[in-house]
Amino acid sequence: MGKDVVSPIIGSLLIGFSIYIFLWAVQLMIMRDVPSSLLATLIGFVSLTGGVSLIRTWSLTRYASESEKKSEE
Amino acid sequence: MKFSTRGDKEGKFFPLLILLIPNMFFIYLLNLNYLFSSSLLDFSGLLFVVIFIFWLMGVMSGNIELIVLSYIFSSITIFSLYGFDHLIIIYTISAVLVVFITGSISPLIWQKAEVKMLYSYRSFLISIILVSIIVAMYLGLSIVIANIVNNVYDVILATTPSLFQVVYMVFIKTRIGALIFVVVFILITYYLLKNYVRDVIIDIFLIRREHVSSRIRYLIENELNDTLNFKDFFSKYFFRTILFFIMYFMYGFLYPILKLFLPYKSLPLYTLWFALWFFSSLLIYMIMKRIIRRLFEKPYTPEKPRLSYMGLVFSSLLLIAYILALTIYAPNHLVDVTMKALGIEQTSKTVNNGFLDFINKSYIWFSDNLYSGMESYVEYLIEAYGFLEDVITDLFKLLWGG
Repeated sequence: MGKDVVSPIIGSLLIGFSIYIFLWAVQLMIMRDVPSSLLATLIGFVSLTGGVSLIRTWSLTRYASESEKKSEE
Repeated sequence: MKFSTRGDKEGKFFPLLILLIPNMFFIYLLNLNYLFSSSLLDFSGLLFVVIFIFWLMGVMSGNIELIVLSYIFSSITIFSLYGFDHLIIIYTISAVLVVFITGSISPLIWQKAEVKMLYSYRSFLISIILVSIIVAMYLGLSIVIANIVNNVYDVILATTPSLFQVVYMVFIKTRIGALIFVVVFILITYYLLKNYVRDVIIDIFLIRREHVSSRIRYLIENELNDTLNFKDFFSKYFFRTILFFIMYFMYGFLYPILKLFLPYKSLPLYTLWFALWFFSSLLIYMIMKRIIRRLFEKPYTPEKPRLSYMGLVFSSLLLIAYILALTIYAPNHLVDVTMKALGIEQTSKTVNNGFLDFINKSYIWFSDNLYSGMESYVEYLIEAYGFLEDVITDLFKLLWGG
């Protein structure tokens, strides 16, 4: 049960972090600090895709287990 | 019980006859008057050609909306070009008459058995109110849209980057761009007339409470279903407009090929070039359509849930490659850059590193060149469309011996 809650929370946190880092990347670009901005953008992409994958995995696993239960019944 | 719903088969001969009676009366006043008095090659001439084609198509196919549309746009065009003219009143009256005559006589002919059953003063009153609400809404919407179109350039100036301003400017500056706008606007009005206004007007003499409820239910169910499946008018229209825009900008890329074909002045070569233009634009359109649909469509499929880690793998690989490049070429600045990227350290020190300088300079070079490149492409488009107008002029002269 604990496992069920942790992955969506971590996923949401990662997505939130990616939004923060994307905004910061734009700020860095305005400051003409291109190398840091590029790094921030890449970190943002990794955390965004990681968060989304985590949440999708969690929801699909839930769906699969529910359909298994239904088929058993 | 039979109702005049959309898609009914109504026969061939009588609709055409009824359509022609009011139209015969106005035929001598029709667009032909202005079509031949104004030069065919200037903008108003081209507009009247488009409007006349709409009218002709309407009469040939027995399509009331197209005829009404041609009357309405004739009035608007005459008003915008020559100011107020007595022809505007005639066009407006004829548009209203065509709708009401076809709407009231056709049920008498095809559904005379049911008409007696269905006539009622109450339903007539309800339908009048319904029609008034729809027409008022339609007019209000048109005024809002017209205001938006009028102010769109100011809005674009105030809100968008200069790159879009240039693109928009070139689109409205060339006459073909403006013509595309007019045709797009005509199509919107046609759709609204066909699907919402006309049906209700035709039902004026037939309407009943059950009919109203079933019609409303049908409309809501249908619209909801269409919207969910990307088949509603606005998504279809959105995709078609994209095709117009792609064709418009693809012309610039294919202009050098047209220039190569030009000395031969042969129709098969022109056809080949046109096919190339159309199909290349269509290909790009199909690819874009697929990408946009994939973005917005629900990926959820209960039978086969699929999970892809491609995005994660790809972005991780890019991040690792960039960090590796930083460790190799700027090892002393790696920590500093990472701290700044994470927002922990905000001081901007001057760095003397070849690799970091290279990234900075390449970005600035790219930004500068993107803007100037777009600007020169836009100038090139203006030149290319001027050339296309010359070609069309030659073609008209060739056909009509001008």
